[in-house]
Amino acid sequence: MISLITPEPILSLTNIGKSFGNVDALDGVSVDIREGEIFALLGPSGCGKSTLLRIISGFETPTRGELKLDGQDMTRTPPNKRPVNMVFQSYAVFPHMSVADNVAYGLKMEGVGSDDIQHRVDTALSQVHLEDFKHRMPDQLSGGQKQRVALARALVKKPRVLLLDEPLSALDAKLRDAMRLELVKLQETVGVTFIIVTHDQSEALAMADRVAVLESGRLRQVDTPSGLYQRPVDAFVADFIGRVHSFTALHIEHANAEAVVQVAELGEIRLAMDALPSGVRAGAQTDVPAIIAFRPESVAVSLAADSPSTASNDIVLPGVLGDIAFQGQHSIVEVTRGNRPSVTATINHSSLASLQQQPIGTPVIARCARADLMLLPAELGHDTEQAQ
Amino acid sequence: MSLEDYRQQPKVFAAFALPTLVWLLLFFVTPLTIIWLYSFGENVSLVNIETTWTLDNYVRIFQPEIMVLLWRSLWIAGIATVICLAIAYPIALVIATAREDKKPWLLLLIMLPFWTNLLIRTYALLNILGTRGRLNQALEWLWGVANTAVNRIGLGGMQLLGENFTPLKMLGTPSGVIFGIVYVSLPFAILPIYSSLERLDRSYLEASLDLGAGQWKTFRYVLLPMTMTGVVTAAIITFIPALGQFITPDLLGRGQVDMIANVIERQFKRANDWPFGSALSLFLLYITFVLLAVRSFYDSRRSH
Repeated sequence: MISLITPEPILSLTNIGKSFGNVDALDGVSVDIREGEIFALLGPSGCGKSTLLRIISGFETPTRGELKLDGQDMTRTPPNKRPVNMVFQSYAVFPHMSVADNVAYGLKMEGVGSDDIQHRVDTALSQVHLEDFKHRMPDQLSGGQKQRVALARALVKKPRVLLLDEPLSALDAKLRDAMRLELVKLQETVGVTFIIVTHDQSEALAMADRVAVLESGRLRQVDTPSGLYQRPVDAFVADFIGRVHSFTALHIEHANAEAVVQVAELGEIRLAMDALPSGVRAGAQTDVPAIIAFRPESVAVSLAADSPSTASNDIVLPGVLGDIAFQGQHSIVEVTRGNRPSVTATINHSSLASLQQQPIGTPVIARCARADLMLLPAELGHDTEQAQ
Repeated sequence: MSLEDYRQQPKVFAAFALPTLVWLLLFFVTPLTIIWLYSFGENVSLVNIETTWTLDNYVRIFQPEIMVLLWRSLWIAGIATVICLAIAYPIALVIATAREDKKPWLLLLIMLPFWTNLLIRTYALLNILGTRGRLNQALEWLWGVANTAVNRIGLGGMQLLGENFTPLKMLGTPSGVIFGIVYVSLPFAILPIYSSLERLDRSYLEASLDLGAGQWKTFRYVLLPMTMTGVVTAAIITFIPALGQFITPDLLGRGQVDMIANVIERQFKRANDWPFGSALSLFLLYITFVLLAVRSFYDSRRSH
């Protein structure tokens, strides 16, 4: 057999579970993190991502499962014995030590010689552009500067993995965008594997090489940002990563190489099995509740008067023109459909021209190409149901 | 209504402040002023004191007998404070890290002794610390057990533990007085340390562990420095009353371990030398001021 050459994972989590009392914070989480990547743990609050981070750093011991770093079992190694460092959400920069002393702290604990400490502290501070703040005390620093101290303090230890707990949440909007880019650049410079915990999907998509979506303590999908966006494995991921319009699938049947789906409002939709992602194909075979979904980007809007009456292969949703929200590069057009949920379309400016002159209420048609439809398991049973 | 509103309504503010002000003026400032005037006075008859602005009373403080007592008061209070802090810190740490629903109960246990009068508690200590007291009974029992064990392993002939149990003499010794002071002051030392621990964000400790420090180094370099304000407050709140302790050295010291407050008491009673007693009292007050000044200096340095 020919095996694919995959690099040995730097961090390998196998079937990690954590229970607090009789509440399962994490359940059966298995994921491999590759050397040198930016890996994001993404999920809504309470999904278990912070618990997972604390398990990786050593502040929590998993109830079940195994954690290996560079192939060595570290499931029960205390935090001070792990080659893993953390940038805390609150930064936790020691207020009674100068910037330089904060950065030197971890090296002193290691027993590094003082000349070496000097040199490494200077290097770390220049990496985060804080050379001139060496002798400042933390209360003389801004929030962003404190974060840089926390970063330097962790990186100076040359960790195998750097953990960042909601690194951008405490910064104001402008600084956040700048810091996002800077963190990515910093990672490229130092080459350390980053694991970032965040609840903000745009943050995860923009920064990470791969993203793990967690929900209710379970791993839903691990993929590249574009993979998550284009091939979500279920309704939760599809809705969490970007926006989707979803329609309940009433009945799924298989004919030849096609899935025949009866959908409320849309009627019968035939989808080629080959076109479905593998995970979905499995889902489509069973009688689990499923949805048909598409993204606003896949929707085109045209005037009802201009549209050819004989529908092509697209699915067609007639309605009337609602609000048009200008978004810079594109606009969001709302198609209202009486008391049914309205459909929004993200449309670029050239397609917008004909619509813009029309008054609100003009009959329009929203259409979506069959190829852009996603058939996804709806995953009833827990929170998703209440959220909808 | 906030405090700001009161400030804009001077009459309302005055109405609230006046009773306190009158109280302080009548029962604190006035007596203190009288004592202050006495300290510059002389006995002119058995009951009359005349303020002659003499500095004699203050000069007399520096006579060797008084200096010995003052020095003893300082070191007894000092040792009691150090012991208090050493016991209080771990207790405060246990309470601060206890589960949220257990904290009020633990704090209640700390405060419970205050529901009993100080005099009664000190008398109870007499029963414990005496030569035939509970402490010595317990020690004697332990001695007996240990001695039997020594005999069993065949070393009885060497009399390793002495021929007989010698009871510890606690009453009438500085150690007994220190024990009493520690016992009385402990809750006052625990509370400020507890509150500074409670305010400390736990992520500082986790950051220290994360950076490779063990538990001891985390305590030494992060936890202790970051709760120093609480420790200093605890030290002062223990040391100042300990310095002026009067009942404890009287009862547990059996008159053999007099502290400065016992001398002051004597000036106002048996010796009938109110001017000197006043001067001694104020001298103690000045020491307190100096300590508080040190503390506020420490605080102001920390906040920069």
